[in-house]
Amino acid sequence: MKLRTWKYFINQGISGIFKNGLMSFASTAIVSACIFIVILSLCIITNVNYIMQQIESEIGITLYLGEKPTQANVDSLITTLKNMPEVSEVTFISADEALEDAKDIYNTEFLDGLKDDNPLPRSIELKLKDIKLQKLFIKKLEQLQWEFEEQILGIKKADTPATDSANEQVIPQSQTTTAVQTSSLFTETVYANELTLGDKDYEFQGIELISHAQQLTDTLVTIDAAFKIISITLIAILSIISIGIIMNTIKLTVFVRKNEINIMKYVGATDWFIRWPFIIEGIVIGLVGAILPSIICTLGYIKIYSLFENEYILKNIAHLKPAMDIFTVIIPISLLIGMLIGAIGSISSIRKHLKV
Amino acid sequence: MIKMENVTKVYENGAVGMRDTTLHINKGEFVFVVGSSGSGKSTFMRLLLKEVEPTSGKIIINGTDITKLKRRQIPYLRRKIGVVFQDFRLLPSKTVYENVAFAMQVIETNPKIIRRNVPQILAMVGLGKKANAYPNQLSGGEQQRVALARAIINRPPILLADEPTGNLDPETAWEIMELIQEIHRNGTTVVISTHAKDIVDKMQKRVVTINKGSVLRDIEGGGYSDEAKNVEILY
Repeated sequence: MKLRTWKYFINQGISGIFKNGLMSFASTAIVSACIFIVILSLCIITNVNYIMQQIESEIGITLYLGEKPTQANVDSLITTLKNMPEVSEVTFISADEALEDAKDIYNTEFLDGLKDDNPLPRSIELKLKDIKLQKLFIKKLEQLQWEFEEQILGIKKADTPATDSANEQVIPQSQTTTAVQTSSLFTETVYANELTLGDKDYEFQGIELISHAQQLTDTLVTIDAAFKIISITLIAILSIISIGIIMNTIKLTVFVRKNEINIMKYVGATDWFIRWPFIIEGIVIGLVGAILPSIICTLGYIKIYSLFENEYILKNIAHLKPAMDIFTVIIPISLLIGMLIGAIGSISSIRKHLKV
Repeated sequence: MIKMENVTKVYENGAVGMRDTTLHINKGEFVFVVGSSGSGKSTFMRLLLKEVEPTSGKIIINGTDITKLKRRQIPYLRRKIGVVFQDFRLLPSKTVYENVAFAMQVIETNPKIIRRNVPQILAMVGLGKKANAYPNQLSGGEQQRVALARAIINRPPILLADEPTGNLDPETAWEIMELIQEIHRNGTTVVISTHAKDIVDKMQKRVVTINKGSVLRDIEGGGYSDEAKNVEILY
């Protein structure tokens, strides 16, 4: 197509908008309404995700260490943890640091007295890449807890129930007093230790405690998944409805000009020559329709953001995503959606009339 | 110029528009196609414009078998055929000038040539002074002149006119026929479908009578009213 032909298309497309002023206005208004809802839901979805991430990032797993492990033991444990694929972050907190933290939290000098005889345990804080993995990961950690125990106590573990005679060779005789499990129905791992091995009451000396909030994590994972499904469905439905309405509106503007299309066909216009002005018309309508809600939503969001950030309680729970971050993505998307809806609407509306 | 070979057109609803018709129209001919409503006249016209596809047979225009053309090639066929209709089919929102120029813009003609040719053609059809008028400001005859100007602006070798005088009073109808004759004199092959008995009789051109989808009669220098006589002869 020649440049002047494109000029002609743009000219025709834009003059078409004004020739059918009322219809164009109606189409634009409908695009605006649809895009408005799309932006609104995108804002909500992004922020719910954003807030979820903040909450999730606060959720960690803390391993409290006993007195027994040496610093070398701890270092090798940290290395092991860092090499686990689920782990995103490992932080070691020494007893001194724990004390400092406690001082910060309780805001008192009273704790200074404990400096030389610090009762606080060393700990390792873990963050997971995805909290959905937590449940399985905890199982792995419990395994690790036993392995670490073996390492620091220098004892071996029995892999299978103690009734298996082969195992008795690796269990030092002196330590097997209470470790025998009589029923083969029990598949629980049995450990050779004079302190009631495999027992729930066993007190670990390496990793004393694995602390995590499974209940909260489960709830969050459920909410997160449900919300994603709901939001995706919502956006899909909205887009389909918008395209449907716009198609109908453009169909009317095309119907008004079906004579023009007809005549163009008779004088030998190619299908694309006929389509382009309508497509441009649709794109312009879609674009204009998308600009308006983009502006309104940006201004509205900035206002809500400042209200939210000034609210002390809300601010401490979570933050909204800054307007810049959100709208530099959403505005191009919504303009694109607007233009796409307009173009799709136009193409599908004139298809019928081209068959002459 | 136009060759129809054993063309049959059966519509989806079973109606027969054209029945095993063979018809040749040479370059530079002036042909009337006559017949009652539903005789197959409009099927004939629509077949030539490739608005409908024949069920069987070949249609050759300017050496090209148009039944073999692909959809995207149809516009280029139509550029070889100027068309006018009974109802003029002008764009009410465009001026006389724009209506004619439109046919050139559509095939991406250089604007310089458009500006040169449109006034020429409007002068030829006698509307040089009405270039800026809108169709609703014109009489029926004037509107048909605009339609003719539009049909021939791209100098097609063939002019198809479907009942061009159907909406006009006898006097205006003659003016239009004279204009078409002038176009014919400039070398255009003209095919007119019509009901206008007096015009056909008076002009003594080739007359093709179509009845029930078949060529009933094809006479050089004939008249419309010969139909009755020939029907008697044939049956």
